[in-house]
Amino acid sequence: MLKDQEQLEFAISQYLDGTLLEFDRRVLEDRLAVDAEARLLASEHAHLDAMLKRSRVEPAIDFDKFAAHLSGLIEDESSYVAQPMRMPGNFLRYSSIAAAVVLFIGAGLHFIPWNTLTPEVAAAKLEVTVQVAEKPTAPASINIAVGPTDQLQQSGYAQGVFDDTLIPRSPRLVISAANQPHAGDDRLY
Amino acid sequence: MEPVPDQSPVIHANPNAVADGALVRRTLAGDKKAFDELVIRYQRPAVAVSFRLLGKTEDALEVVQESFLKAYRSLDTLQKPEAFAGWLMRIVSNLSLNYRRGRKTRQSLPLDDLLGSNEDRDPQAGGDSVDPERVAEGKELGVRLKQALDQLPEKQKMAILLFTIEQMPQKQVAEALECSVEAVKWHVFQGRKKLKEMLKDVL
Repeated sequence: MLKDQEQLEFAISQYLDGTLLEFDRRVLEDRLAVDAEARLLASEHAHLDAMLKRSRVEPAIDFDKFAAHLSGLIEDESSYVAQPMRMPGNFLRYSSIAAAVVLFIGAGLHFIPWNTLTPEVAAAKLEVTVQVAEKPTAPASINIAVGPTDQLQQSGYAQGVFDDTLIPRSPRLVISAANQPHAGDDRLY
Repeated sequence: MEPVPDQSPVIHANPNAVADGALVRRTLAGDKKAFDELVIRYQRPAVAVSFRLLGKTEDALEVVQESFLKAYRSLDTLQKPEAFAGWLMRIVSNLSLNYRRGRKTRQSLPLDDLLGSNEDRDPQAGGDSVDPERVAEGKELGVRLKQALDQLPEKQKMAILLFTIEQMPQKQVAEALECSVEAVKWHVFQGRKKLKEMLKDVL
C-alpha cells in the first residue's frame, strides 16, 4: 500500500510537470476520476507547485548594464586568453626543474671529497720537450718524387702503360717550392 | 486538472535563436560576440539561481560574474557544447555554494549602477511585481519556503530550484546536477514530498 502510495504520488508529480508518459498519464487520469484521496493528493502537489513557481525571485537590476559589464570583462579576458595561457604554468614548471637540477648538481659538488684526493695527483706536471727549429739559412725547397724508385727504374720494369703502347718515359714528377725559379721546361712529367 | 507542459526557459522561446552549441563553437573560434549572446541568454536565470542560494543581490552578481568568466576561460573543456546551459548552472550553483561557505563582501562591481531602488531589492517583493497582496504573500510564504528549501538535501533543493522554480528543461537540470533525467524527476519528487510535509499547514 505504501509503495502504491509512493508510486501514485510520483506519478502525480510527473503529471503536474507534464513529463508523465502517455500511457501512465491515462492510467492516472482514470484513477483521479474515481479516487478522492488521489485527487486531494494531486491538489496538494499542485498547490505546492504553484507556490514554488510564484516564489521565483529575480533581483531588480539593470540586466542590460550587467550584460555590458560582463561583456567588458570578457573583452579583457579575451586579450588574456589570446596569450598562451599555459605559459605561466610551463614557465614555473621549467623554472622548478632547472632550479632542482642546479640544486642537485650543487649538492653533488658540495659532497665530493675534494680533500681526499692525493697531492701527487693534484700537483702532477706534464713536461714536454720540444726541438727548437733551426734558423733558415736559405729559401726553402721541396722535392717530391712520385713514381718508382731509382732502383726500380734502373731495373727496366718501371714502364708506364698507356693504351696499348708502352711508353718508355720516366714517371717522375718534381714539384718545386714556391718562390723558387723553375728549372727546365714547363712540361708536366 | 491539466498537466503543465515541460517548459523551456523564455530565452528559448524564439525558434530562430541560434542554438547554444553553435554559439559555443563560434566563441571557441574567436567570435567574442557569440559569448555575449550566451551572457544575455543566461544572465537572468544565473542571477536568479545564485540569488536564491545566497539571498543577497550583491553576492549573486559577484558570483554570476565569476561564473561567466570561469565558463569563458574553460569553455574548451566543455565536451558537449549544446549542454552549455546546464554546465553554466552547475558552475553558478557550485560557486554560489562555495561563496556561501566562505562568504565575504567584495566591492568590485559597480553595483549602484546595476541595482534598482531599495524597495525593488526586497527579495520577497517578486522583482517586477508591485502587487501588495503578492508582496505580503511573498513575504510570509517566502520566508517559510526558504526555510523549508534550505532543509532539503542539496540535490533535491537544486532540482526544485532549477526545474520547478526556474523552469529549466529537465535535460539541462540533469546536466547541471550531473545525473540522469530520471534522477532529476526523482529528486524533484522527493523534494516536493518533503516540502509538502513541512508546509502542510499552508497548502
